[in-house]
Amino acid sequence: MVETFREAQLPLLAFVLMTACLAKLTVRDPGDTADPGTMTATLLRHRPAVVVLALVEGALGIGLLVSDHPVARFGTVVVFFVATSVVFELRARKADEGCGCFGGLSATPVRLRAVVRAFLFLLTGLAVVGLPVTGFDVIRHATGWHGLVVAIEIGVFAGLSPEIGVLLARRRERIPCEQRTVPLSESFATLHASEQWREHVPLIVTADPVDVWRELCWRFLVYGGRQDDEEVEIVFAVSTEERNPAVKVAIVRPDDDDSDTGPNHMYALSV
Amino acid sequence: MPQSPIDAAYRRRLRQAVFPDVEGSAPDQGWPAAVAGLVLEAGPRLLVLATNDGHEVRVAVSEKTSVWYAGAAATSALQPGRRAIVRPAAPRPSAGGLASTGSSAGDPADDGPVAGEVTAAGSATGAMTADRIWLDIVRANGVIVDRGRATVEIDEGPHRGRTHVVIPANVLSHILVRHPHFEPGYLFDVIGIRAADGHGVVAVRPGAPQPDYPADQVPKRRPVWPVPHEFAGTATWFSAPGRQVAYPAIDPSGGGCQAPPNGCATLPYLSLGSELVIRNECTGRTATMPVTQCGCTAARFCDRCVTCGTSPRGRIVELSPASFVDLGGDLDEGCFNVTVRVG
Repeated sequence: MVETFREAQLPLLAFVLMTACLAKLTVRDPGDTADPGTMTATLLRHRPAVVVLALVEGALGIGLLVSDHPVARFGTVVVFFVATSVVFELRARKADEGCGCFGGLSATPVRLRAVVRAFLFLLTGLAVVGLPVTGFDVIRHATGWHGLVVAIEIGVFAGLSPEIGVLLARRRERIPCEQRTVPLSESFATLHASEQWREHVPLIVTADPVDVWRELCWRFLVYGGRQDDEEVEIVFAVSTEERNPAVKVAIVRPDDDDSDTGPNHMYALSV
Repeated sequence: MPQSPIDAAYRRRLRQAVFPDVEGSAPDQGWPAAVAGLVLEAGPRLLVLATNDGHEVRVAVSEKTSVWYAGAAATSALQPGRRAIVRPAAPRPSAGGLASTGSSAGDPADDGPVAGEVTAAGSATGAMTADRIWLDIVRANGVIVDRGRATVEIDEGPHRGRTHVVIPANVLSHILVRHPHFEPGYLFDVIGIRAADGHGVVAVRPGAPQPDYPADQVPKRRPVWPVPHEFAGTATWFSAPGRQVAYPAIDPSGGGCQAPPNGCATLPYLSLGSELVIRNECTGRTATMPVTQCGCTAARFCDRCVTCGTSPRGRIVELSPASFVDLGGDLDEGCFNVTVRVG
């Protein structure tokens, strides 16, 4: 029974380490530009250090699955020992920072449950030291008891993890593109990095857009241009989506039927 | 400070070049347009108005015409020097033409009817016949910045400035019942008549019940996902010349507007010049109008309109009197239930 309990920790730890790796690489700490306040927190928000730590965790997670080499086992113990020390320190100092254990999802201040969670992970890490099987071996030959142990532990760790609440809140509170406040600098950065801009920039003859406005999920930027010895207007529509914003473009030729008065220059001056 | 007009047609043309499949504006329904102007002459059967764009418009007054001047009034209230908003009578198929104007719809300077839209409303004399006439009607809504026993100074927002409101003794209790927080920092909304000196407002009735929160603590509405591009709420009006539309969620980076306050209605960001298809749910009238002003003050009101049924919370558009009447609204009612689509 004890062996079953120890074996069940291998896939669990591998899952936790790889999840922490992915979270650190993909969800940045939202407070990374503010003064972190403590040296530990400063280190946790130093992006290169975070990336190195994430890669180490990912490698250990894979190592637990595919190998029974002591390096992966002791490495896991060291990582969780350091993690326990860090959250203990943050808790003791009553610092108003998260541990960054799961990247930007761990931005809420460290509470007692984070310390308990880290300590339990340290114990599970110690439990797998010396086991002569790999994580994949356990998964391939898993019994109902293995599943029961893992299910109970997942429930316990979920209850100790503030990140789950943060993840749900982020999901709920993600700002729709129609309501995102998007500074002009962000739209320009998106535009200038786009293929559409590179294709059409040789046609542009005005240094700045002659008109700029926004509707729903799009910001429109109009430039004066010249194509085939004819004056044209080059209209870029830049998405206000937070992720993977699209850019669309159209070349508009003057038409004798146009009854409008042309660009609204006073609203391009705010650029 | 008034905001510069935007050429909505130019932006519409360029937007359609990028998105040719986007649904366009609503078809013109041919309702007679409202006329706003200064009363030059007033006889028992005829009213002559001078519009802001320099035209004279002749309006026939019949026994069916109702007049508002601080409440229901007799036609004797039609006096030179007063400013009038006229809603023409419903069109008749064989009626004659109109005596004036040819400016385009959506022009903020346009106080007159649109040629071709009002020709069916004319009388046998060639003038349109008035259905309702509001005289010297004005509205003051904003944040209370100072108050006396029967006066109040309100801030109507950065584009409209401050307004001094006098509350006569005969309506004071009525106004105070609807404004239990008669103190600085709270919202205030009254409909009244222009003060005799031309500045300020003499209150006649509440425009809407006062919200019970301070103006800087607007309750946030739960986020809606996805954000609808057609939304329902309340349309109110504000004192402004011509045809104007104020919209609460103007893009702060688009020029001309400061960061809008978080309103209680879930609205998408638009810009000055964006076109809205506005439908009065009480009359069925629909029109396409460009946004001409930030509705910073409207964003602070989380009230409902109950003119026909109960609207969702939030003032989603504010209209100038002429635009409000164009859509069939009664200025003395203060609001109508509205559905707005981004055109």
